[in-house]
Amino acid sequence: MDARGSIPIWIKLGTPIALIIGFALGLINFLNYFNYQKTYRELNVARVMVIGRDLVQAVETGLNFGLAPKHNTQLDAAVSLAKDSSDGLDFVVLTDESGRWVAGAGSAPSNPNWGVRLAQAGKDAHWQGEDAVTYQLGLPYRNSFGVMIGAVVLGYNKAAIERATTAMRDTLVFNWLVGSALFGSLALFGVWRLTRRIESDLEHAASALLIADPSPALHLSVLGPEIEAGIPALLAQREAAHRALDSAALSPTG
Amino acid sequence: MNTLSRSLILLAASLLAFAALFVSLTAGPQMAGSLTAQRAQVDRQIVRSVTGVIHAALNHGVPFDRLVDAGRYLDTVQAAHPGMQYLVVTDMRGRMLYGTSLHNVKDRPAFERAIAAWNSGSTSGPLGTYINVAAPITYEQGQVGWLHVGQPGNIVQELLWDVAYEVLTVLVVACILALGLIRLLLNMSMGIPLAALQALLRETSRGDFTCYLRRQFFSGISTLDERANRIVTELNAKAEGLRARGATLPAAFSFHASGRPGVVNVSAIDHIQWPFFLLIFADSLSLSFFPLFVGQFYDPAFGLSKAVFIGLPISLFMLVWAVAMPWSGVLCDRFGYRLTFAMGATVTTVGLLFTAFADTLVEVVVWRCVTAVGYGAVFVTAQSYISANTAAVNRTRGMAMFLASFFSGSLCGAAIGGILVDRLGFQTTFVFSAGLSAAAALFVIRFVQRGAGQTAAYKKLKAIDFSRLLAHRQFATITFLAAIPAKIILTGFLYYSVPLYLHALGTTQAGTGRTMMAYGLAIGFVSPAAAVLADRLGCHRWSVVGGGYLAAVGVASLWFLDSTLGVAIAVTCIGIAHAIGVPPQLAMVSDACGDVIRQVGTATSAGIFRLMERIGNILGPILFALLIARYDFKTAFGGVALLMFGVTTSFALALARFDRDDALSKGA
Repeated sequence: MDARGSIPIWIKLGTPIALIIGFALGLINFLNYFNYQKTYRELNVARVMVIGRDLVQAVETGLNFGLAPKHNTQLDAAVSLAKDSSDGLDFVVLTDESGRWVAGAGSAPSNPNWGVRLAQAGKDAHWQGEDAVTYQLGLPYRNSFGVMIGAVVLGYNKAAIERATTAMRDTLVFNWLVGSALFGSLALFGVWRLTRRIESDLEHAASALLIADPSPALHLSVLGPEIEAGIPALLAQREAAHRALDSAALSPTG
Repeated sequence: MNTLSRSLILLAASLLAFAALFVSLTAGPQMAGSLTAQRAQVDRQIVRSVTGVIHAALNHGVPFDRLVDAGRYLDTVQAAHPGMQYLVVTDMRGRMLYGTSLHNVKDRPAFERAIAAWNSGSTSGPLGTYINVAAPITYEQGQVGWLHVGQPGNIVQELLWDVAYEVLTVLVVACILALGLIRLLLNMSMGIPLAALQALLRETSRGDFTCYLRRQFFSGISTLDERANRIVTELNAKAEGLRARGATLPAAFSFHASGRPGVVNVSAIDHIQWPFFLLIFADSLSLSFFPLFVGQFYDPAFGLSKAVFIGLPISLFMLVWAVAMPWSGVLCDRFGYRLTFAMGATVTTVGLLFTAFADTLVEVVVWRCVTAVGYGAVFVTAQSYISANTAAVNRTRGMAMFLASFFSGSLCGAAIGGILVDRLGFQTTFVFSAGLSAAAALFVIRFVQRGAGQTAAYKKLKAIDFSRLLAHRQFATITFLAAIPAKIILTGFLYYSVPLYLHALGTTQAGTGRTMMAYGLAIGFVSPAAAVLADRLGCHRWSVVGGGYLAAVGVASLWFLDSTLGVAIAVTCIGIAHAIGVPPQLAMVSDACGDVIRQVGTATSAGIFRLMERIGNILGPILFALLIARYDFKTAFGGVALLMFGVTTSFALALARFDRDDALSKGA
């Protein structure tokens, strides 16, 4: 409608609606992603927890028979078996109350702070931590008097989890782009349909302002009676002003 | 234009709903595949663990059909894995020997038949509505039975259900944003330019060709504007030529002096309403987690209880906000809306940004106080702008829009902040808040007219301003019997008592948030319609009285309905009560106290009124805390309801008496 190519109303109104749709879809996908990531990690923790609990049970059974973990010859085999029983388990380590290595299998980190974590665990049934390569789950074990005297620490591989969550993130980003493009286009189309009458009114009003004749009656259904009457009145006043200025130019003082 | 606005909002809301459904459904299948596989791995690990225990018992010579306490052991395993539906051990004929309770299992006869018939080599697969993982139990190289573990079949449904409330919150917030933005854009592209064009047409119809239409970036009628301006230019050029030749210009027409064209100015409350919403939204992002954020700095060495410690920055924020208001009014009168709002928003931005990086309680308190100063300036400026740019007949409507912006900003901010902080952490969320606040400042700088609201004379705030206003009996009545009680209910009931009461009823935090949202939604939906009605009927006083009684009924409802539903009803009632009763208060002040306002100044009066109102904010929690500690929730609510009833009745009677006195003095 604009000779100078100004942006049409349907784009001015439709673009922000499309952007809000994009924003809402982004936020929903953000929620879905974090929910997925949390659930995926929780399922991994749950799987590793089953292994850890079995080992805690084995250690505590030995303690009930007066066998300290470092003297329990069955534990090495149990630890190795536990490590091999599940994919993605990098190490399984038994520690004493100061976090020192008692028994274990796999590649455990060299300077872990498991003693500190164990001391902080308090009455919690487990703790979770991580390093560059693994997520870690620690489950304290207790002697027959209920005193915490060490922990089973299991490290499971980060890379596998991150691969899965990254793949989901990429899918959600793709869905977001598709959804935003699709529903954004629908928003623009819808706004275009809704503003057609206004655009038509504006076109008529703008054309009327180009005509020198003030008489043509304007029919503006959306812009309202004030503009409808005001434009011919402006044209009439222009004519009157021109005439008055012309006569002023011809007057003796001019 | 209203029809178009409604159609656009409907279009945006339906597209948002369909789009949310679209992204949730398209993500579903991939999530289902990946998570079902993960859950099956957990089940297989559990199966390995349980079969290991059974195997150990069998190796000790215990017969398979006489394992002692096997049922209790399986119950323990189920209890350790929430979500697990059943664990069942069968013999080779499909007879169930041991298992957890099956009373929750859907279509149990069909389930039992399927378990009995299970003989496939496959160890996992669907079984009715469950995913069943089965493992053979072996002894001495032979299979003696099966162990079955079941999880719900549709993990994605659970997953989507988990975030359903949050998705709904996002949709509500997006709809509110869309609503605000559509209104803003319609006004900026059509409403304001058309009003300016109408003003120009009115001027030109009187023969006045001195003004032009301002070029507006968002204008949707720029062609009309250009063509109308061209006519004005053409006539002024001709007049200028004549003037240069020394001719006398026709008296029936006015033309601007050489090089000094005028501009048609149209102010619109949208210019400030949107940035105000944005700033409130920005600051409210931290509403839901601020106590938690402060709690991390707690150290018993401060010698304060944790509850007091957490409350300290919040109380100081309220105090500084309240104190900043009258000074902001003075600043606004001196520097105008544009500069005061921009300064306020900039100060808020700085406060939010530095709060994000605060390491100690002292830093948190300092930066929150800085934020409160900016917040106060913005609050008073927006309020004064709206008051000054609405005609007397529409003033309640203007105030309702102001309150609707405030509460919808708070509601959206708190809801989105709660969602963001879980994923992004405190610091990033505060930085995000600061970014939005800065955007509000930029918006105002760009769109609000330079110098608007600037009064000719700069007037310092004096104690006499307070005494003049408070000595005015209508002002005092509206302040002490309507505004302060409303704030007592807001902070004492809604912000203080409702979370505690719901917690006592065993409602979750999410449930508490949902219940409290009813207040903001009621304000947002009821306020504009109630205000239009109040302005149309000119019944500001009765709206305030009606709101007061409805608030009393809301609080009293808990006396009769002692449940979460009761709280939801009470909160909704109070939301509606405040939507009806609070916006007309300032309009009443403007109407009934015009004489004293002229002496004190519009913005200063508004600032002092809002400052006095804050007494209610501070008193509310104290009053409710004392009553609840002395009696109990129910008695406290009953007592406050009675108090509210009495105060509202006194308000109505006092105003009736002032009317009678005025009539008598006029008669005399």
